Amino acid sequence: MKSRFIFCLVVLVFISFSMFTVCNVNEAHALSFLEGKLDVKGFMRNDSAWRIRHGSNAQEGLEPWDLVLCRNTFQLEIEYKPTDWLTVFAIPRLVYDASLDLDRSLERRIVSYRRHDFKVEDDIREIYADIFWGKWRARIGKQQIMWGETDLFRMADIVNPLDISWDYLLYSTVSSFEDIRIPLWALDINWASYTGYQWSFEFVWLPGFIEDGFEPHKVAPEGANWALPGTPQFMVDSIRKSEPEDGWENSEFGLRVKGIFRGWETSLFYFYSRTDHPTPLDDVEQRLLGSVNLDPDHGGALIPGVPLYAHPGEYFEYPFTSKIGATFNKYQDSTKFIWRGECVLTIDDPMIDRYVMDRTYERETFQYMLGFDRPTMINFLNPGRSFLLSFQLFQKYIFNFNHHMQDHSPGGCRNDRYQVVATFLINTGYRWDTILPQLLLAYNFTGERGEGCILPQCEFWIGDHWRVGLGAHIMMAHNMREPYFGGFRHNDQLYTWLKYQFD
Amino acid sequence: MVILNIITLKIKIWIPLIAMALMLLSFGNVKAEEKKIDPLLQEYMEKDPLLKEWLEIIDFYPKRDREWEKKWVGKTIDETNVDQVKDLLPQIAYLAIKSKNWNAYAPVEPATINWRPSKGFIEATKKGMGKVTVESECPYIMRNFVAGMPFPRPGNDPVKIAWNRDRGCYEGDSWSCHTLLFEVYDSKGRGRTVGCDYNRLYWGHRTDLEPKPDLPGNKAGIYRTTGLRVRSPFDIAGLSLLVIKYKDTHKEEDLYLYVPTMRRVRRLSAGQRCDSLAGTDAAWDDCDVYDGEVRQNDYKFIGIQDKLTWYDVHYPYPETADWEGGYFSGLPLQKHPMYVMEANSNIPNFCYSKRIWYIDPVSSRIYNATLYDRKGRLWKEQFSAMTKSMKNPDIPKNIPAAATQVLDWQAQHNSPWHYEPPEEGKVIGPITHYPWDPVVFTPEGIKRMGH
Repeated sequence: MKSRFIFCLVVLVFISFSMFTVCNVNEAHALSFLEGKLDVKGFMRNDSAWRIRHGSNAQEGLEPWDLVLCRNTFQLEIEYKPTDWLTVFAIPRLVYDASLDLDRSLERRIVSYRRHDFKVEDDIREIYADIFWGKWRARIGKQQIMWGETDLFRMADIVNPLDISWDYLLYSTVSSFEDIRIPLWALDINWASYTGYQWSFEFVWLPGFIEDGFEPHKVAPEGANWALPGTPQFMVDSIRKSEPEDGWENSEFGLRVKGIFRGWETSLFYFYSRTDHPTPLDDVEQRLLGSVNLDPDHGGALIPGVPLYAHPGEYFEYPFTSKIGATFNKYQDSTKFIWRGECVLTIDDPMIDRYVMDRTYERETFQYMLGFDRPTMINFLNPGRSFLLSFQLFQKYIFNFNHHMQDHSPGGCRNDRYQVVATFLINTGYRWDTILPQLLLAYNFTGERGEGCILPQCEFWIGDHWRVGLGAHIMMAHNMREPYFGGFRHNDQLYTWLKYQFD
Repeated sequence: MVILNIITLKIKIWIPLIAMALMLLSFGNVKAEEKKIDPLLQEYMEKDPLLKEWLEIIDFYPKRDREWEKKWVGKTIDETNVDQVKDLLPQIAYLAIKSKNWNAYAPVEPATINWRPSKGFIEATKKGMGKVTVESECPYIMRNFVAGMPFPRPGNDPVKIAWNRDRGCYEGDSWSCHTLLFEVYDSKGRGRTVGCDYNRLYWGHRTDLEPKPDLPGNKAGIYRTTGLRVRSPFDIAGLSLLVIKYKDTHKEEDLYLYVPTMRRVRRLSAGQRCDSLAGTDAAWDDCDVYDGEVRQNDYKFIGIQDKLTWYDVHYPYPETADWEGGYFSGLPLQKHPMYVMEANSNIPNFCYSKRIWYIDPVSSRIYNATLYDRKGRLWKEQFSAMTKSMKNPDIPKNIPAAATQVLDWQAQHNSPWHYEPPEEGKVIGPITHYPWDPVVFTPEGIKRMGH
């Protein structure tokens, strides 16, 4: 009862604050300064999620209707355009996740020194300058760089790591990758032709020595709703602790050439970077055994329920890999299909051994995606607007595969020589696009018994400023060894969002 | 006898000759009568030699109905008197005024002509006169068109009129409109707004600005590119739509959309033309009143009829303008002769079965469209006005859709589009130099402009 009261209070405070702070900003471009050269816009948003099943393994102890997310975000987007050739853009973001304060049992599940990090985020998320010079554009600063044609699963979108600590699936529906990519300091130089067949060229350099330098994926602490299965807290800490020192040697770079020929939009790219997920060092077992002790004040539990503790340490490395890939899309007039495709060859992709911790492998992997988008009228469901049907088929092949191998899929439990995943998205709009339902299905055909998830959701637009939505995650995995969703097979949840935006 | 025969033969020859001469004389008189130019139009033509030259080329001199104007100018058409002008109004406009649902009323103004083509457009049209043809088997294929208006004297041929509207509807070689506002209202006045930048660049069939008639290296055969960038509301701000139309009208246009939340450009299907444009009552196909291709309709010419349209709405908007005030937004109507045409969609299952267009014979612009759904029921109506730019008087710019309004009669929903009250010269303006960042009009360009 108390937690419900606090939740209602948080929501009320959120609404009141948004009303009081921005209710006067209801005219278009109201927050415009310096003769229109400085524009400020932003939003306040609450995302809440409730589990609808008991937790398992990593989430053990979580009950149905536990509030596992109450994330309140205040974000500004500031654009300053002093001249035609220069634009400066910044996104300050302030996040407070009230779920730990609302549910003390959830709070107790997370080690005290990670709670603040889990609850609060306050930083300048992105800040960069765009310099335009004829056919050239340079973007310098902390930014997101997006390549590729795929939705939901990433293949060519490889430049920025992800923050999957607060949700593993919301990005695919509500927030999109934009909210969970970790922006990095980079230089992105782009050249584009504008007549005839259009060409563009892009060079990306991530220096790796500014601010946090190299950044891997950010994962949830042990005990959290989206904690990785089989990953105790000291290992989660070790992922961070094993990050290489900031320096030139972390430099990553990429090249991309893009062109449009007879309606075929194609690109070729190359990206040389560290992997965003950790690979155990050759001597990890020795290092680990050296830190094991019996004192719970010195380290985290090695195995749940066993009084052995280990210190976080430098147990991992982030080796460099090369990725070579291509993308295409093509509109076919006769069928109204947009065909999309993407492929990536990864050289020296690190794999770990399922049974022996300090054994690793480096293998070439080849991934591709083929898909289509098609607007389709389904008159009996919506006579006034088309449905977007979007289908994608992903396949991954590991060269020289052996059955001990395990890659770094987020569930991280098993692997196959082939992996075949399909996604299907359908959405439409009712009442002048103010009611926006969507259904997303993802299915992995190569799991032991098949696995997948169903993600229905609907967003409602109320005027220019308010957005309300609700949705669900329904997981379909039978055991935790399934690679993508197995570890989260009991993470079915309902979620809602409420947003006030101003511009 | 022989003499009699000769006389008879001569009479037989002369009678038809005399009859023909009399007929020609009478036709000449009719033409002379038709060319009796209205004194006000004469005044316009004297002031503006380009307009004079243009009217001579198209051989059309719109008449002004002085008697009617004496009765109506200065009055407001509302539910009390709308029956008297029923024949001059499109169907939904009449119903909206009559029903009182939409607070619909419109002041009446005397007829004016504020539109004029540029020198380059006139020259290009003259160069092409008599050379541009359509295939006899398939009139939807046009040959030898370079620039200007393809068929300045289309007669009653609806396909030629449609071609003129498609390729010869002069609006300059490029233009830029900032802070275009799409608004959506229901009959209770509840609304929302989408703010956009709206830019267009012609890559082919250019008439005024060098290089012409094509931008150099236009190997892809692009006709024009249109960019629509959303500025507000926040959740769709930064969405950038790029529409690439090709000179080959049988080549489907390309659509690209930069989605800021995805940070990437998605290719769109032209099959989405029936979907709502930015959540308004207009479909994508209703941009510029009609954004489809000539070949996508079968046409029927109904006649030249006097109609009431937003013929001369321009900046600054009249004081009566009230965008939240219902249908017509208080903008004035003028009575002008219009081509009235029927365009029946030949695309299977297309959202509109039929459109009735009012096309101005002088500018070839559609000033009004009445749209019917697939079952042939009355559905929507679009009023459209154009404006002239306020700067660069040397290059007249007739920007389309200075104000547009779409009323969905079935849903009782209304979407006016207009521009924010402008700071002079900054809101709508021609682009008078090249290059004007044509890179903005490429898929890579819309990504660059986004975040």
